[in-house]
Amino acid sequence: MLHFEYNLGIILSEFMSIDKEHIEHLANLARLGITEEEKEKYAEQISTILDYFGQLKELNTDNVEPLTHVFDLNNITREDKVVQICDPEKVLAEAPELSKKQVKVKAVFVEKD
Amino acid sequence: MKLNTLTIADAHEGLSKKQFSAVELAKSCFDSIREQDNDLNAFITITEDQAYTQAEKVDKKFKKDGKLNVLEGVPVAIKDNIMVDGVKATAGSKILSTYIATYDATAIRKLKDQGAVIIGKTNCDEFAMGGSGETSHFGPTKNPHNLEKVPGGSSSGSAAAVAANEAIYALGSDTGGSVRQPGSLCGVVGFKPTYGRTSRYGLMAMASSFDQIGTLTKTVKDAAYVYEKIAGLDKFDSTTVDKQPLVINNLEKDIKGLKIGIPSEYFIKGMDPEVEKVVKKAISKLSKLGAELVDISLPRTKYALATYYVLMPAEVSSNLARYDGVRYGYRAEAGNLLEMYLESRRKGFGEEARRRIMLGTYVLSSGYYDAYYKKAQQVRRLIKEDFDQAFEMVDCIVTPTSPTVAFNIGEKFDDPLTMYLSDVFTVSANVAGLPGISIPCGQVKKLPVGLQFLGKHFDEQTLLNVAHQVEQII
Repeated sequence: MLHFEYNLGIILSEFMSIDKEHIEHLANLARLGITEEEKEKYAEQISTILDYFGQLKELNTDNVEPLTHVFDLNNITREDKVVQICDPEKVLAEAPELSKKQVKVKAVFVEKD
Repeated sequence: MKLNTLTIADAHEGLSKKQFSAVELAKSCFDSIREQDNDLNAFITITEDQAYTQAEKVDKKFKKDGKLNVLEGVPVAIKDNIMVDGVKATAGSKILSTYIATYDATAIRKLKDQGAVIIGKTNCDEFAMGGSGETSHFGPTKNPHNLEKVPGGSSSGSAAAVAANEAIYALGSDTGGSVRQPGSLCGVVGFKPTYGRTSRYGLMAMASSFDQIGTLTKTVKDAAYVYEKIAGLDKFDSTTVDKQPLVINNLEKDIKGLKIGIPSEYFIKGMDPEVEKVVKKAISKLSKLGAELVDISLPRTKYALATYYVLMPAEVSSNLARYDGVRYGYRAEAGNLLEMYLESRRKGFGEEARRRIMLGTYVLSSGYYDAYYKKAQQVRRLIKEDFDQAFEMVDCIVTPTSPTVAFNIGEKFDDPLTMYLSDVFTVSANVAGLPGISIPCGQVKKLPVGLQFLGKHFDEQTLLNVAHQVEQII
């Protein structure tokens, strides 16, 4: 197995590891169903990865402007005109359930007993 | 002669001289697929009917007008995260396992305009997330050089298909090395243009500020042919640039006097010493071509991988939010809408996709945003500045593509961080938006080793010139 110099970055305590409850919260935020077993596994794996990220702390980034895109982006505008770029029938055909040409989903609210 | 082993250049010549037809050329690829793909698993979908229809069209047209574009009638395989109208596009995920693309990606439209023959969609890591091809819902692709080894990833099927002569060339996508690293591990040429060169329209978004469509080919010249045809400004992708992507006419230029930088940070402890030896030997040949080798430093290199693995999942977590079981793709049975979301995404996404979604959600969440996401964006700027400074002194940079040759299937699968380290030499190009190419430069234990060149922004001309010249003497 390989050991990389890069991998030996100091693990700084400010970067806390995350526990099962935290994973549950994240999964919920991301709308991911998750099993008990997975919570444990992900907590361990994601903690290890976050530890690795800790090395970024070594670098002084005071007054460094965050870079969101490698080049400056310009807005490209166009006339607000409807154009057909694909067949609506084909797009609708991909929906798991349709009702009168509308995508059908389960109830949003559930009645409480 | 086996037609499927030809390069684009040779296939074009053969077609032009009427030595064989486009139909015969396509057939040789399908024969090769039938013979090998049960083992290799490089393809998810074969588009045989459409391919023969297109090949017949090319043959008929050529008979009539005697004209032939360089890509016309030449079989190409497409990574399954790129949309081909009317063809299944799964991106290697269960959540899209039945999804049929409703339009052509810009790169596909351009290939079709050239008369290309699309033979199928290739296997890949799920949503292009992985360095080994193993995260695909459709099973791992095998390395044609040794079926027990991974082909690299995420453009695993595209690289394996070209290496095994199932296709003349292939398109892939490169977010952190996903064209160059499998190119290296499979012994073919993997080329990622500058960010903004090829339109991302119709490429399923993984990490939008890093993603770029690239090529898997048998030679640098073939990469140049394809690149010239698929690059360019696109009104459907506001990050594309209006610059001419002309490279072919520059390939044969000698590289005497060009300055090529060797960054010390890319020869690290832990790298397979035999791979290092092969790479260094290849680099030494650059001086035989009259290029000047210059030792340089890219001091922030060691932070590139962590930077990438903070920013990329953040973008992944938002880009993959669209797969929710509502408008397309897999929907799980559930009692209400929330449960439907949770179950569809639990069952529809594989482990790595879910891991990255949670990681991305974490680094973007309030309280951690500054410490991870913003910090990584700042470091991203510093890494880009390292390259800006280096390119004031050198014309291009040479490095290894991967620290090891192809590893065993299953070897790193359960250890995500070790898997991420396979990208250690390739991510920087994406972090800084640079063009990069990997060419085969030798073997270790009968497995291919790749040599990577990184170029200045939008200077694919010099990059491909150098890579082509080196390729001739390796």
